[in-house]
Amino acid sequence: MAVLTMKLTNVAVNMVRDGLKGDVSDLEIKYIAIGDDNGAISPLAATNTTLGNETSRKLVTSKTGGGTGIMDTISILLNTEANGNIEELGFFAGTAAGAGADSGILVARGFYSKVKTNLLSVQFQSTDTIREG
Amino acid sequence: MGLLKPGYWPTTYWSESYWHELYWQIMLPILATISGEAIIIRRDSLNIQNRIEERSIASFTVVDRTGTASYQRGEPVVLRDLSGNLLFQGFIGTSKEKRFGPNHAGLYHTIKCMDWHYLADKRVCAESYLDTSCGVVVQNLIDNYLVEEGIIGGELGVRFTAGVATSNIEFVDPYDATNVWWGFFTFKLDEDFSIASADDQYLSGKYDDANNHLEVYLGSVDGKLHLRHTEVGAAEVALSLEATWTAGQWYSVLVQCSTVSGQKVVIDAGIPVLEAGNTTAISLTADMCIGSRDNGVATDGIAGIISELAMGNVVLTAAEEYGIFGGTMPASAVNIFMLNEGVGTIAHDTGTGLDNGTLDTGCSWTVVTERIQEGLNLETIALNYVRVSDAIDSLAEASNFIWYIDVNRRLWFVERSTTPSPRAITTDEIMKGSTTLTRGSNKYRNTQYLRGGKGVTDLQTEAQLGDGDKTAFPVGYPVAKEPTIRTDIGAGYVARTVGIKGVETGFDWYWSKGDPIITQDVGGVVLTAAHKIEVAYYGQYEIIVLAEDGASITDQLAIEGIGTGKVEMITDRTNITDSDTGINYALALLKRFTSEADVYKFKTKTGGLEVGQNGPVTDAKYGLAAEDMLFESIMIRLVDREFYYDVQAIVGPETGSWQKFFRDLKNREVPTGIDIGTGVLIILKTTETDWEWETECEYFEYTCDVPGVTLWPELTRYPC
Repeated sequence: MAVLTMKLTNVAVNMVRDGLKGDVSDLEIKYIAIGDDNGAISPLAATNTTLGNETSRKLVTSKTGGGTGIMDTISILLNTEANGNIEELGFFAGTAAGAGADSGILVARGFYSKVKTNLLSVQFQSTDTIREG
Repeated sequence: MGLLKPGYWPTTYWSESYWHELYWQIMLPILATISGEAIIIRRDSLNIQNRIEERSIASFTVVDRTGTASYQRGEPVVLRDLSGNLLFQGFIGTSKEKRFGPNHAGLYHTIKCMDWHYLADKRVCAESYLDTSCGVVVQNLIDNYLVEEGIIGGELGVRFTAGVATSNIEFVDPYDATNVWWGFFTFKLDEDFSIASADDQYLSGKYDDANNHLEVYLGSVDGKLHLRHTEVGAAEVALSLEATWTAGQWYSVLVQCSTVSGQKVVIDAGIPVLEAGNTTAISLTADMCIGSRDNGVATDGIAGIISELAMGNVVLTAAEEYGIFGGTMPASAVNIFMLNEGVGTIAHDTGTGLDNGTLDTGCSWTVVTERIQEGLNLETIALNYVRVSDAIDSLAEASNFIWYIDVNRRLWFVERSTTPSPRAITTDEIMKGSTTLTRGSNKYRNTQYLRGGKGVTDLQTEAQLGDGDKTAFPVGYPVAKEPTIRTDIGAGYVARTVGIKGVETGFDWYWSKGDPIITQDVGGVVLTAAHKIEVAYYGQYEIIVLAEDGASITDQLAIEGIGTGKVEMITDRTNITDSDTGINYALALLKRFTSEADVYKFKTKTGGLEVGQNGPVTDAKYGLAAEDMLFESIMIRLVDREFYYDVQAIVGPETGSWQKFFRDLKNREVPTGIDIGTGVLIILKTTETDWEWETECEYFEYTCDVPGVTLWPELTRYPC
């Protein structure tokens, strides 16, 4: 097991803000997206709204509510999926999140460097924890 | 030399006063002038009290040996130390004369001065604003009232937002077919820009389509400023030498296209970049846009502020190019937008073209100096013939800011942490025995009522039947805006004309603001029981906001031991006319006065501190360890040729002087009472809550096939 450094984005925080305000009702994390930008195109920053260069995406596999304020999101890339050079991944949410690249609200983005082949499956287990500050 | 000491002055030939003059002229470490003339200040008479948000004052006695001087209210006074540092600048408030003695012509002039704050005290303003930040209002007050009094303010500009298609100023321009076009822009960015930036940022554009356009933009491909002109797909480009742009720094850009001399890019009067071969004439039809390349489509406009810009269609001379960076617009400039209107949606063109532009909804007026910060955005505010200083007091209170006018006549309206002190304060410089620490504030509250003026309802539509007699019809709320009135006298509703009651004539019906009665014109046909009147209007209601800080109430209860822990305060602000502004105002008051409040006083002989500065203060005896404190007041005294500085440093709300306390008491509004039955609205609002959101992602790699995304025994265990 290894842990990726993920960056929460401003648009995600604003999505929650807008949800509390009532302007947004769909905050669901729907897609995991894969890309091949290692930061040369788009450095990791809270201002990110998309991956640097998204190459594929798929629906997340499962979402489980954990303890207070905790949600686990499981996403599995099967051995037949997303093969090639992977440098970045991100989770997309909201009503606009669809199968198209860059669609939806980028909740978090991180770098994961791997040349994936059909001999490799990868499971990403993302944990979001919201607590009183 | 001993003879020169006070007490050893022989008066056989020279009088005591002459010795005074001689002695202090040589020894006093101060340079003082009144109306530009040097004066001699009497020993130990100087006292300067500098204070934020109030008039600072200075008092001293002038030694006038010949008795010929005369000082009038309003004469300018300047006090400097021997290093030339300004200690005080202002005006004479009062001057009192006293003779040295019964047989001597010499005079002592006891002078009391007031500082530049007086300039804001003496002007009265009448303004109203909609959806405007406090900083813009302050800047507007400076421009409209205080600049002519000598106050140095900031400037206004327009803030543009990236990511939306409505952040632009569009104007109909005269550059559709021209051999020459130049543009000059002064801008600063919200974030650094370089090749690492994700998106281009457009300063301006005249964009017909992808193959026909004129654009000025920062390109993410190389970080440089691009002047790009394309006709039928053939692009001509000139690039700046600069490839990095720092957030918050002002840049001036001159770009030019000419069928004779080609393209040119100049940044901050630096080395011009010339593309002499790019000489295609401009033939485009789209309007010119500022802050974006077009209106309504592109979303990659500039994220930052443009403060002024100009354009023209005559090649600039070298002198004009030089002058434009120095602030002198060329006489041939067709369009000059100073962008200093501050309100409304029109950007006025003061060039020869008079091509006014329109601000779209994604950009807004802003102040461009660091001395005037934005503060709270107000939905509505009415300044109804109040002193400018009182108006700024209210705006500072609403924004939880401080404001003051410094010795250089610059007005500051800023967050209290804006200006750092030049040094940390420690007991190394604090004079022994000079310190006190007062904890707690008499302005503390954790529950804030705010009684405002009138709020405005949503659109109300009410219908009533006539009775054959009455010509006055009441509606549910006092009317706030001109209503729409229709009557149905048997053939369906028909719109009727509406005038102002008691002011206008010749209309079918009349209304008056704040009056719930709609009246019919005396010549109108009285409505019968079969006739109907329908009034669509916006009503008024009184505003009371209640804001509580739950955590502070709990803390206070723990301290007090009994009761509720609530400390309530009510504030009247009749110039607030909508509930959102009232809520934000109440929250700002709560934030300002719920906080910890310490007042630390100390003396030092080291100058250089100014009111409005923030500095870390350390005094272990009081438990102060690099405590960040605001210097609220500094009293400067000159004793035995040495300056002493009495500093009042605070954490929490400003304490103000006794004069301010009594002035506030005098000015306190006396409400006429709360009548629950007439539509008083109480809005509950709590203070902010802090959330944290963390995310982490673990990953597991399996060098075998996973049979299916739903076929696992556990979340982290797979059948490989």
